[in-house]
Amino acid sequence: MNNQNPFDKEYVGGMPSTIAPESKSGTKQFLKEPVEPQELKRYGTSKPTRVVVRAKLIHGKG
Amino acid sequence: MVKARAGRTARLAQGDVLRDVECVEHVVERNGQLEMAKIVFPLVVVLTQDCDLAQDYRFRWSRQPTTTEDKLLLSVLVAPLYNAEHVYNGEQLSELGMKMVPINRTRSPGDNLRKNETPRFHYLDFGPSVPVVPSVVDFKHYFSVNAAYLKKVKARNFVCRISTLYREDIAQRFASFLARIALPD
Repeated sequence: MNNQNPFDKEYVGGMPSTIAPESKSGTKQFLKEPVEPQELKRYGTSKPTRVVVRAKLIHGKG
Repeated sequence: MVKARAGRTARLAQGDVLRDVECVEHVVERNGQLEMAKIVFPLVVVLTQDCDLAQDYRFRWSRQPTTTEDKLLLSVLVAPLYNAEHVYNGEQLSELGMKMVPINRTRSPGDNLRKNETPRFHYLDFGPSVPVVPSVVDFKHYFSVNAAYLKKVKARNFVCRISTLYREDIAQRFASFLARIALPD
């Protein structure tokens, strides 16, 4: 067990504060920073998809 | 970081990374209607041994007469590359309605994945010159594709070829995965 004071002022900057840390909106941040053009050209961002093809058979076509 | 080259050869080669490759799930005829279901994989890597691909290419497209069709490949083995971020979350096949086991990226499973110590997967972190996100090859999902079809796909959808040693590493790990033996407890 160490003897460090859990409320060591040095650790919290020496200023007692009851203000919660500022939370940045992830969405706001994303909207402000446009996607780099290089990112748009990167492959592998999409997932495999299933495609079903249906066609009518024409029997007896000459 | 894996090395890969953007230059392409005319023939299919082991380590080729190709876009939008189709895997036919089934074809059925029902009540005068033909129904075909296929899965389109955004990225696959060619696993078939390069010597086999070279021989098949010479057989199919060279003008040299041959007495047999002995070197013809009926199909080429490929495996899908999934976005590593999707693999961590277990959602790489969510578009197919399939849920996969997530891999904790910050703990041992994630570390093992990135160090290629998980037999089923092969992690690929491409360099800045290759426009592919960090990806994971899933050996369990290998499938075969017609060689002539894949060559046409390569002409349109070639991405890069994984460099020597790195592609042999993938092939060797794939062979080990297929040859694994699960012993009863």
